[in-house]
Amino acid sequence: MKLRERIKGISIKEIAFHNFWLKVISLGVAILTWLYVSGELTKGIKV
Amino acid sequence: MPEFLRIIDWKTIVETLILWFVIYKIFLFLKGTKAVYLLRGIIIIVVSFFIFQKLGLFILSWLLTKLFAFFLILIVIIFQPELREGLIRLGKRHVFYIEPKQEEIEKIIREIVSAAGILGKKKIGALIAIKREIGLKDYIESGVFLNAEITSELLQNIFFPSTPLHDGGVIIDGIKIVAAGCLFPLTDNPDLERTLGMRHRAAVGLSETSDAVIIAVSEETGSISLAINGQLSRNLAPSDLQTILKGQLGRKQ
Repeated sequence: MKLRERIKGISIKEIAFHNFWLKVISLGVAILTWLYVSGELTKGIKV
Repeated sequence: MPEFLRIIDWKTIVETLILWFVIYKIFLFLKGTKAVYLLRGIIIIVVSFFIFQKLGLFILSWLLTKLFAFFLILIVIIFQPELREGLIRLGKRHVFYIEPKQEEIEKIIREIVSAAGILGKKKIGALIAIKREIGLKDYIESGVFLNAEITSELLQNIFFPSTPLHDGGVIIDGIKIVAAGCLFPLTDNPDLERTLGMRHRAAVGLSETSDAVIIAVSEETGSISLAINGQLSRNLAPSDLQTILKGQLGRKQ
């Protein structure tokens, strides 16, 4: 089976819900990291 | 409108998405390894740090910051072999690789188990390696490239005595038999029984240098063995083999 055919065979639902909680936690951690770093950088600029 | 919402633009979204992808991949890599406990430790320290800062407990948060730096150095020292293996895996992982579907995996397992059972009954030796995360390119190149559908009949045919490809190992990657007649490294493990032949030593050898699952069928006894992470399980019935393979190769939810 070619790669394109295999990609077609996998549903959006399967992509979204495979390791769902891991994806949600990763997104949460990513947002927190971004907010923290952006806060630190802004603090640095103000000083 | 909160201040942080004002700074959201396309760059913020791209940065967050990249961070999300990297963090998700790290979590995926750590899942099911000893490092999960380490990650829990780090999360506890980080959460405690934020709580102490919010509560204004600056001495404790200062201590945690210093401890965290020390902890990071300790991690690098203690987990040096795992980190090295992780970086090797990261380098060898195919970014655009798509895992086979559960039905495909079950079909592949059925074909392999059927072939192993029949070959065992006929006392025909066989060596089948199923690739997981770590690439087996070096070993694929030592054999004959096939890229064929996995069927019990083809596997039986490959190992049929006196045929050109019967004397090496078969490598399975995803839904294909990638190569046959491949040479696998032999183990140096002194704890293995002396009675074990080269086929079993090659199975254990490959399982020591990669995360592949290797099935060996003895031509003397017809027994089926399975090598995973340097450990050899011997005299397996086809039904046992099927159960173990399902556990090892099935998609993790």
